[in-house]
Amino acid sequence: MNFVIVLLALLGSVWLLAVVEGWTTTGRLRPAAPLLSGLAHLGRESIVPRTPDRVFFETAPVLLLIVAVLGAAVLPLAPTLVIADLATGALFINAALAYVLVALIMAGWGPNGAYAMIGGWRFLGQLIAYAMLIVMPITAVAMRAESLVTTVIVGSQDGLWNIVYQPLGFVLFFIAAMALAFRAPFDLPTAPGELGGGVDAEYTGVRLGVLRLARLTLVITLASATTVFYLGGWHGPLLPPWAWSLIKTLAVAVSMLLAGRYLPRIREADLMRWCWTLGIPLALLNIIVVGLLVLVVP
Amino acid sequence: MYAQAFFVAVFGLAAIGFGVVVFRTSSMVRSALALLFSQTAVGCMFLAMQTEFLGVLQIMMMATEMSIMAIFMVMFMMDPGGMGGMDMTHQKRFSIGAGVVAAGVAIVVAFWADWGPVTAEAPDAAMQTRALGMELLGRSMLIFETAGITILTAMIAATAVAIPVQTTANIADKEDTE
Amino acid sequence: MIEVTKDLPRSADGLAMDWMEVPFGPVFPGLPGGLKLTLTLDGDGVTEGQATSLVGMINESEEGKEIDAETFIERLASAMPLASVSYRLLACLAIERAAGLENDSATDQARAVALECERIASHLGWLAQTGRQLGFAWLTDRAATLQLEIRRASGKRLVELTPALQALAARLGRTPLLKSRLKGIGVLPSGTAGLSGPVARAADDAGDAWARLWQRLDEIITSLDYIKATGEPGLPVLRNIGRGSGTGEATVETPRGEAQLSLILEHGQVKSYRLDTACSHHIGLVAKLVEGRELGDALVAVGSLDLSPWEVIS
Repeated sequence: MNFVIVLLALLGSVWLLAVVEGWTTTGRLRPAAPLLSGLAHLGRESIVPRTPDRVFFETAPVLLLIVAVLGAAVLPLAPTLVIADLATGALFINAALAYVLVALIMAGWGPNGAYAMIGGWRFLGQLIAYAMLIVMPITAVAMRAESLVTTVIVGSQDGLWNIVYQPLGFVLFFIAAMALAFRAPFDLPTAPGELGGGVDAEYTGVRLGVLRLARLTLVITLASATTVFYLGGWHGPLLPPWAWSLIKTLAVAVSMLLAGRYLPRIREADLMRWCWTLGIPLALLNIIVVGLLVLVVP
Repeated sequence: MYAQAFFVAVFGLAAIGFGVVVFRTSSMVRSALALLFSQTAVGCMFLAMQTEFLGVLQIMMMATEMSIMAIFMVMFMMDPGGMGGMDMTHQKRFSIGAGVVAAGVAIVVAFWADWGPVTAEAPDAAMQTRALGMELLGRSMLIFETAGITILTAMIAATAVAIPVQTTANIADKEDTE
Repeated sequence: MIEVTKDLPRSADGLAMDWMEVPFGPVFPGLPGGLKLTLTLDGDGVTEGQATSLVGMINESEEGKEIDAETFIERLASAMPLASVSYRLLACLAIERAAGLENDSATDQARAVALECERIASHLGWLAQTGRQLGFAWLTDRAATLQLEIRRASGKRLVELTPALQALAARLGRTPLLKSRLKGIGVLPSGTAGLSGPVARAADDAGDAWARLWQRLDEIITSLDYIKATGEPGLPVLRNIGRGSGTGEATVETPRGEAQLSLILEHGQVKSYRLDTACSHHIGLVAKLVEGRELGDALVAVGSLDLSPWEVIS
């Protein structure tokens, strides 16, 4: 039952996010547009490029969708509303999202095209940059909760959310999550102006539909993770817990969307340099500060 | 119990199957990713054997590692897509022999070794994670820290060796070749 | 393996890899339409590249075929869709000089205002294109909206748009990541041969993509000041030249640099002409700008030249 509810919540959030995305780009609020364009994708011809690596080409969009849903599976909407309340939830979401890279490499290599291939390998470089900034802030979150269980992590923020307790970790995690979801300004693997769509470039029709759905789901999953780890999950007055989770998740997702609109795409070399020379020291500092707080403040 | 044995067997066979694909394809990326999925299947075996932390860790680590291996294979191999019909195999007889012997040894060890009493009830996942943490930061700390530092040193050393040294001699050499 | 790779060209990192020749354009989101950029890629680094125009004019008038002066002006203006007013003006000036007409200050002034209007619109078009290339959606939307307004605006309306344009420039100055994206990319030192227009003026500064961005933003403000001080724009229209004959030469500072036209007029018909534009020279700089750069940087460098493939004369 939880499985169905969480999946529906995920789909609903994806739909809302797609509506907002359309609203910011076209200036028109059209609630039916995501459904219509989804249907249109089904109707269009789905072209397979010449001499593709067929296995990779077919697997990549589906794999991306699966890992995004798997990541969402350990994130609670309410105290009992979670698909799998794993003892290693905070680690599991890393494991699931590590396969975003695998999916993008497949999508890059599969179609046998230069733009896609460069996009796929670019994301590997991007992973080297952001990976530590996903894992290290989560470490600090787990330190405070003294658990890897996502529901316990939310419980630990009762009274004081992690965004206040460890703001540095929140900022780093938010930026790294945007890089993981390859949203602008970190859209190096797709980069319409540089690679003409990159890993998306060779996908058409129903395959492109799945790929787009997967990308939006990934954003929602990461926004939900941000909510669970930093924004107190389901905590909030008046409204029921699940409503708070959804509101916070959507707010984070929309802010990720809007941030990209007002920024130019980052240079690959700059991303790498800043993540390693600035991001990782800050993440370590965050761990030390949180460690001290955990030890000193009861 | 039977379900557990079933899943261990399924993931075990998947691991072997992907392992075979590693050597049956000439595409370097396919080969690397087949190895990845073989390792992922091993991670799933851990999960089926109720060692959640180890399983998840295995699944997580392999994704990045094998992808990085894939890009190195693409960079260094002449026919990374396997579409040029280049033969990538060598020393076939020796490697078949080595493989058979190693498999035989592994099977013999598996059947003859004394594995101790079977644990009736595995502790729950949270307890395992805690016990693992205690182990890593207690008795085994020295071993793991030494291993970690050694690997880090090796990586830095390898990078340092790989960066070409800018001396007057090899700049002149470079200009000669151009 | 050594036998296979020993004769392959080496990249800067000493690794022998397959090089790919990849076309960018003529229809590519990050580049002006009609421009074809062929890059040889080594991974995501560019080892060499060259740009060609697929829509440029040919500099030869058909042998023995005379063109009516009015038709010539229309043809030249419509051949350069990204700067039609500038080339209309250029053709008018050259023909009028060939016919021996004196300059008329009132006409000149209205024409100059029209030229400055087009400069503003053209630079805004470039900003929108740059926004598209950099994935900077806000800039694309804003610059494109302003460009449309400018193209429709009268002199008075233009003055009213001044705060909006100043705000755009100020906003770009505050945008994070933009400077690190453009600074030090596509450097053209001031001694480089064949520079003209904003690219040449920016070369006196740092000569990189960042300097070119600010040069164009400054020019927008300067042009606005000029329009404010001068008056209403008037589209260049050919004055009555009768059936004059002679040779004429004119130079106009188009939004992309200096354009020069010399022609021979016989009885009100253009017999032959020679056109020289800034883009014809700038397109040759591409090879040097992209060599050894990362792909994204190379494309930014090409974009910052503001090449109009129509204005490339072959």
